[in-house]
Amino acid sequence: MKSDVVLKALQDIVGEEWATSDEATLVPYSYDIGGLSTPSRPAGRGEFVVMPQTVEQIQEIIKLANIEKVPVTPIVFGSNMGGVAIPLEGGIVLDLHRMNKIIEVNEVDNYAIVEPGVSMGMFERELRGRGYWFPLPMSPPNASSVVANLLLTGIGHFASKIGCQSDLINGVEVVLPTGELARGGSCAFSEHWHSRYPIPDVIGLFVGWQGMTGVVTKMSVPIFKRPPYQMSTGFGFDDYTEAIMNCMIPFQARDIAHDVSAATWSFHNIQKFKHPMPERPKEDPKMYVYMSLCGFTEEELNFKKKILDDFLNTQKKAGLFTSYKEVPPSPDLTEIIRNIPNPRSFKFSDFKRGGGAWVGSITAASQWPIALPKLDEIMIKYDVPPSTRCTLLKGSNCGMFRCRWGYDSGNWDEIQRILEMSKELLRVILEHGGLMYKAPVWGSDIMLEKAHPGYKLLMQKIKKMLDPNNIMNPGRWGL
Amino acid sequence: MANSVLDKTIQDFKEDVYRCSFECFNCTTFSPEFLPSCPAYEKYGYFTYASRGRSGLMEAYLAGRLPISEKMSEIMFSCSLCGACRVCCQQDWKDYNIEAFMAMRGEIIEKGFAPAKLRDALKSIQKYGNPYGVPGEKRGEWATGVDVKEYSGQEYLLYVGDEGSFDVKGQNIAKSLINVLNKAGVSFGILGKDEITDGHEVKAAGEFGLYEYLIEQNVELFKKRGVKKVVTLSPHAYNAMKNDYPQYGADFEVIHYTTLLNDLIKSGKIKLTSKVESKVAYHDPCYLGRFNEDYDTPREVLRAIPGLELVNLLRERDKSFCCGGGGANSYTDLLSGGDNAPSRIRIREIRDSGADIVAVTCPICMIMLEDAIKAESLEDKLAVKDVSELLLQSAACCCG
Repeated sequence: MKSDVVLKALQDIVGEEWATSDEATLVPYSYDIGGLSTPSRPAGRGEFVVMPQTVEQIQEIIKLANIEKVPVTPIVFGSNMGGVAIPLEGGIVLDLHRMNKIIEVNEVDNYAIVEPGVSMGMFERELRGRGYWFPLPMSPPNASSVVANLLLTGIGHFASKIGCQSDLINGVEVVLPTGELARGGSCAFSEHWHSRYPIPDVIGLFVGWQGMTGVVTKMSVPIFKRPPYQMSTGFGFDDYTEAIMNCMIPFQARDIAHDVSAATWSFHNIQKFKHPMPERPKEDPKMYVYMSLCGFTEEELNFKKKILDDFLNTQKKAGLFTSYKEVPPSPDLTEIIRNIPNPRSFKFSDFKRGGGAWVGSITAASQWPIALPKLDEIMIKYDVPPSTRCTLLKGSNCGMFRCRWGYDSGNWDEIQRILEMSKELLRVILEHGGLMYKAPVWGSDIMLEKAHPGYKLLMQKIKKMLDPNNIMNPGRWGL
Repeated sequence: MANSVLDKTIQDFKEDVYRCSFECFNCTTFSPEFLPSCPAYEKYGYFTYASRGRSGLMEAYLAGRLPISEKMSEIMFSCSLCGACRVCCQQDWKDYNIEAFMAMRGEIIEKGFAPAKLRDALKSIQKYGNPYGVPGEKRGEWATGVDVKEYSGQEYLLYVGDEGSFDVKGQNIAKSLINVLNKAGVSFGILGKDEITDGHEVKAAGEFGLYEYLIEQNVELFKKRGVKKVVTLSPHAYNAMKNDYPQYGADFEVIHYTTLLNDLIKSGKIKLTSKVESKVAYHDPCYLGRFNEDYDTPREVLRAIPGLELVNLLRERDKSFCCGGGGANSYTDLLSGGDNAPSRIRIREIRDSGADIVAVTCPICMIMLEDAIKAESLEDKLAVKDVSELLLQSAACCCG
């Protein structure tokens, strides 16, 4: 049987204990609650799981997959929430978490080279000990892959200062879908992994592609000196436009904060309440705005705080903060920012039987206050707390715009209802020019309806050129 | 017993398996140290072997989508029930997972898929009252020539347990403890051939019926002998007798032996004068530490020993990394062998701490870590000693 041949070959490559076709072992690789699938109703199921530990082993696995025409789906910790690492067409699940070396931390040129199995927690631990930090996302758990999150356009906790995580990739080493090893960025020319530019850029061939164009085996990322003085503060508004247009965007323009975010009342309180969430008390603000500031000296931090206070006073005097509300100080917030990755961030199981999902997008900031009431209306219609968070990326043109909620993961009918709601939310976001990140198949299908034909053609050409046998994570983005 | 975990089957957890939401994998990592926590996941590597994966298996099984198999049995029984995932998990799943795992094990046994070694151990317990396949009348043979009396109304019953009775390393711990207690003039006795297993690992294996039977046998025996205070060698026995036995009519006081040693030091009944010039790392056993929150007593005992320098481990107290011997793994042996065996991972961490001795307070930890030292060829650099052995070294010249 072909499956016996493939399993034997995989075990020959990685050793018997690191490859299996066992049905029970494959179960947790088949679902993703954020992707609205469950163990009993999987989104797809692989036929093999293999855990290589070297680049050479990955090359051999990919070559084998080409010979046997078997799909390969790379996965690290499976916490991406969009179901993007669930094998839709069977084949080999390439579990990369054993490739977990931090290969280099270069404190002269301020970059680090990591393998895909390096988790956020591992990276934070290493950098913390050296007085550095990296913009790790606030929401994903500590056992998420740094490399995967960068490839899938994650948002870090000082994104307002430095942009989306995918902007930070200095260089990659990648096993191509046909098994050859390639590099992108300065590391293609020397062992100095310092930058992506000024050469013809090939790194984009692997960013946002959900593992369809190769397996990234090494990545260089910039690292930043960790400012010892940090604070986060929050205040409330009853009006989305005031919160976003009169507060977040003009303050972001001053380039003072390392994080400028906002959340609706439900999002802000999502961890406090058991299911179902109560109505917002009238005295509570409709939206919370958070600013995180940092400094290398106390004076620097105090100076930034003064600029923020002055800004708030100026806006108030100008009559731009008519719905402004003081909110109690939240020492927790500073601690959360200081201690990212925070294991508490995804606490959803207080909701009836535990699920949690989202529709996350990158959307122009000007559209947020217009789209938000529409999103609220949809979520309320589906009896879901209207829960949205937004974070400005570097500059003030756009940012993360994400609805998130809990649901009953044991109720398939409710999951289907949530899926319908998610589609409605995405369509509103698309109307406002937003694009879904870490898109599951239903999300990319909706987006492709609107895509420029030339974009689709180019994607098809790239995919065909790089992956002639279509073995890498097939079935995504219409490819 | 009403509402006891022992009354629950896997069907009772049908709603709770969904509480492991989001596939966050926090269960595998201590935060904010960001160090690995799960022994089975470290050894086997597949998602399936972590608390997260097991919840998925159980959900699929309960939905009728996945049959019980030998592999599923290995996956479910490889968990050492060490409780580290409960420290890490931020979801409500942590309040249910270990009980659910035990219930699933019960289901697996009932369906005839128990690991072979476990089947043998359970048969032996049913037949002889111990998992070693040795007739019960031989249980007390280790004490031949040891200065210890059979229990007959002394202040304490020293419950030696299976490892203390049958394993050479466990026997050595028992002997050294007896030596210390004798020097301090403690009134105590043992049950010898009448002792039977405490059943803690039987419960861990999901054999709740046998566990209840063993509890009833022990409670009846202890009552018949007039036992008022029990001191246990193993934290596993301590956990069982402290937390489960009272529901079955046990009215005796139970302490782990480190509590008694600490009291003896504080009351001046043991005087520690000889220096033990060693760097000692203390390995917290799961069932004294995480499950009964006693992290300080053994450390107080160690700190009382002159010359001894206590060094910290990266993972300790509630974030201690399990040796892999719990959760009936001392019967199944599923977590031993290979570079990724939890005991070997742990011993490498202890080596890197600069310690030359690792102090233990559990005979299973002693067995697991001593084997790991041999596997890592560290015999010249590192030794495992029970706290009572270290105490004896210091007390040897002045007591008695």
